[in-house]
Amino acid sequence: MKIIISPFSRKRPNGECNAKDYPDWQSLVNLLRSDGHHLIQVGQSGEQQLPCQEIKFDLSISELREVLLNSDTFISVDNFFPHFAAYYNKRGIVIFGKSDPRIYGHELHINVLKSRNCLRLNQFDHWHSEPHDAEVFVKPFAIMNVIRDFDASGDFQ
Amino acid sequence: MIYMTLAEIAYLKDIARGKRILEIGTFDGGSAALMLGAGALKVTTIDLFNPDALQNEDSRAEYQRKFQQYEISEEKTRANLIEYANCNLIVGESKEIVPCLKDGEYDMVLIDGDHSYEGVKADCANTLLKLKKNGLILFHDNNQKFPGVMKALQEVTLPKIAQVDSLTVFQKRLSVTAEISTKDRYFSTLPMTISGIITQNITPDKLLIFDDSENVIDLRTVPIYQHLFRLLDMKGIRWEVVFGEKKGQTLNHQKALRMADTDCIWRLDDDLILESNVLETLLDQMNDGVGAVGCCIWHPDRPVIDLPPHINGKINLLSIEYGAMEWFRFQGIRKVEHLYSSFLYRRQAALEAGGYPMDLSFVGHHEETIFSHKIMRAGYELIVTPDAKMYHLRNPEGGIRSYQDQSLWQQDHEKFIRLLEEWGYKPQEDKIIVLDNGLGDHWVFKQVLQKIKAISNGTKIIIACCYPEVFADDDVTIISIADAYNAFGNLDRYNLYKWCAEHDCHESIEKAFEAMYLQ
Repeated sequence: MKIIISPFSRKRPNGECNAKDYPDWQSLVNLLRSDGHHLIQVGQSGEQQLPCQEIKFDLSISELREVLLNSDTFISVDNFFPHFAAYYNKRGIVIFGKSDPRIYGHELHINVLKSRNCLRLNQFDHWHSEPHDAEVFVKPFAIMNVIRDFDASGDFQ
Repeated sequence: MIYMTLAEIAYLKDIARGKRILEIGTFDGGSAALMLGAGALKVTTIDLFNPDALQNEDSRAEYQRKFQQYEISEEKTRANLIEYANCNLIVGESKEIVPCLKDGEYDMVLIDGDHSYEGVKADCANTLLKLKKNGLILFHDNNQKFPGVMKALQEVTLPKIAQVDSLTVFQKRLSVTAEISTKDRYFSTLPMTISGIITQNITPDKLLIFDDSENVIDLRTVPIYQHLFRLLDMKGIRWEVVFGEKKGQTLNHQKALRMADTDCIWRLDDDLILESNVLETLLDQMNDGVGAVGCCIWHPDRPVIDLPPHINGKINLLSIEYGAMEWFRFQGIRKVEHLYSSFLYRRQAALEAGGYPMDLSFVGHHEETIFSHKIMRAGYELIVTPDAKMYHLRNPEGGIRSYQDQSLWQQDHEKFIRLLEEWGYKPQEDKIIVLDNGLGDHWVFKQVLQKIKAISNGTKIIIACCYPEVFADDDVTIISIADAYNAFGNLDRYNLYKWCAEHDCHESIEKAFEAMYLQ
């Protein structure tokens, strides 16, 4: 499948990574590539580049829309991309950690959450004050199971 | 010689400074010299110096007696005043001379001439034309020795601003009742508003306070109010505290309209700070045909910007989000179709207009808009002047509109819209949306926007946002967050996450946006 990877949320003011950022992208991307998927990383210049086949940074909205509509699906953290994709009715996988998919997720997408026990208490506080915790996310193999089921079901089409 | 009491002399010295004064009855020039010595700019003083020429017998006898007793003559008086270059002594009958003087020239008139009823009446009528607006007219010898003076002064309809022994002082202006409708602001902003009234250049004649507080206090027992009430007494401002029926400000305003016995009513919020020229400026603009006058009402919680072109005071363009003309900076007098919050209005115009809209809820949302517009519909002009400023603190604690049931606001708004339609207006309200949040939120909102558009029925949609490119293909007006801040002040009420937290909303942000903007 042609899969868009939207891996990061905006960094915190102190330069540390956002609490919503998935810690195992490197492994996940390698696993996805080993399954034969074509990966396109989107984001902004300055962000870490993952070993995807294509890197497309700093796209305009129309360019991003073009990439989205020409891909099969996407995998993203809880950043703007799932909302953008939902607007264009493109289904994807969203990896949640401390943010609540019932609030920030879309029913259209597959929202992957390790446990509701991991959610932060006040969902409406600024995220820049929230520390990152790698333990609140599912492991890459769990994502791989989701994408394999997804691929097999053809639901993304 | 000055034939006045010490208190009268002190008062006259206090008020004469910097004024152009017309005096009827020079006598030996004592009071003219006193006023010039106290810093009067100019004194024009008129005397006949011929008691025999007076027509009224009683006056003539009194005048003859005094002239003989004090050996008054024109020559002696001129000698008494010779050192004052800015004194103009005119000899002749005041009834003949005064009409020849320039209209609106004098800041003050002192009438101490012919003490007969007819003489005082004539001097009063003639000199009033020569007084500037807000000028003072003083009458001496208002006591039982001079029944003619007493009788004539009982018929003066101008606001009486002072009585110092036998010196009675009126002001050439419309009389004013200031009215405050208050609730639960005893120890926050109400005392500030009252002190702002006390320190006006021109003070109202009466202050009515309608108290709708939950736990009513007798303010006469509270030290700060004891001070304020003493000052009101000192300034000659009659005052009255009325325990309200706790049915909201509209009823209180209507009661004020019924209770006031003055030409004008100055309605004031209970969280205002006033510059000292407000009432003076409002009165200056209350010309014939004007029904109500407002001034700048600035909010310290938002920057004051130049009047945007779309704020034109038209009632059908009313957008409460965009604010009223009074909120902005502008030059020159503006005619408007409605007034905001606190303004001066002519009582007769309000009565002709049918008074306040009594079918609104306790909140009284839009009551001043409807009320002021009714005055306009009764044939009077509504004016906003930028030459005076009040500062509306919008105190979050208390306030006459501090009712918890938010649906009351909506009910009143719907009534207002129906009324506009009855009046033949097509209400045009802008839909204001503020997205001071992340790019993702913008995309979620973009979905909600389609639903808003579907029910907007032609309403102009204005979106203040951080990522305008998201809405580039939508037919909406885009402004920046900075513009929104300038126009609407504090944007907290548009903060999605704050809204969610306050409403304990744990549904999706799409649903939250819908709740914020679709309901």
